Amino acid sequence: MTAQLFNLAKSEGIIVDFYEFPSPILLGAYYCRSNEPPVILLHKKIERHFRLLRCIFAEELGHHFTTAFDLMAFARSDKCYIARKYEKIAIFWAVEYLMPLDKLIEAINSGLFLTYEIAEHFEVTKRFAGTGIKLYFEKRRDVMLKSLKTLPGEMEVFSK
Amino acid sequence: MFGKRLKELREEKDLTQAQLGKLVNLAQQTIGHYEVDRAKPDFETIQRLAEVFNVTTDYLLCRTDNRKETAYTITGTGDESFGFDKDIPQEVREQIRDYAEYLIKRYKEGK
Repeated sequence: MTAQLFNLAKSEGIIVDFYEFPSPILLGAYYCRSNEPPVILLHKKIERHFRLLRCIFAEELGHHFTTAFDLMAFARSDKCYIARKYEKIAIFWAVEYLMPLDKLIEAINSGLFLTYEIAEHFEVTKRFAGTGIKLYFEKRRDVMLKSLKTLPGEMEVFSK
Repeated sequence: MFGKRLKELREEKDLTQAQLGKLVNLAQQTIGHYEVDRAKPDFETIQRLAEVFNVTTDYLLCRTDNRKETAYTITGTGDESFGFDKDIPQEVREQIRDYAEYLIKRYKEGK
């Protein structure tokens, strides 16, 4: 499943590399300069943590597909914008890519009730699965409430 | 405007139009035309001028007011939460940028 992400990046002309980030809080970065191939850097320490790698990688791709061009429009001289409002858009792209809504509903309706079960099913981290479910309740609320046969306990908070 | 910027850079370097012309293989008159925006340089000339003044072509063409840097963006993702929203420290950004630029350079050479 990670191969799919690498292939997608390749077809987009993105350079991907593992990198020892100088900061412990960063696991991935998307670098973009006009007229140059974009670069996705993934922290070396997650190279073998497949689930986390998938989530971080997908989110960086999310930046590429959803916000890169907007961001370029903002970029001036050496200032760089870590545009917070774009972060969520990129994450949602990753969620829809790794955990499509119809597949999620199918999984929950087939009896996966706990976040960790769902994470396991989609090969993502528990945190990512949780964020994904929360975002779906935010952005696809009607579909979620209409399609779910029962509402798993952990998700009740989102449905209110 | 390009002409004004060119003149600024030339005067800063204490060069006459003729001296600059020599450096980039152009007649003094051509430089004069550039400086009043009566003529536009071709791609090669723009690059040569950028080299002479040690600025980016973006700066020469007034696309940025920063002489050395070109526009770029970095978005980072952390593990604390999805929805990472701490600013990346300047020095970390610079290291990421340098490494990314190195990769781009290597990628182009390998082509």
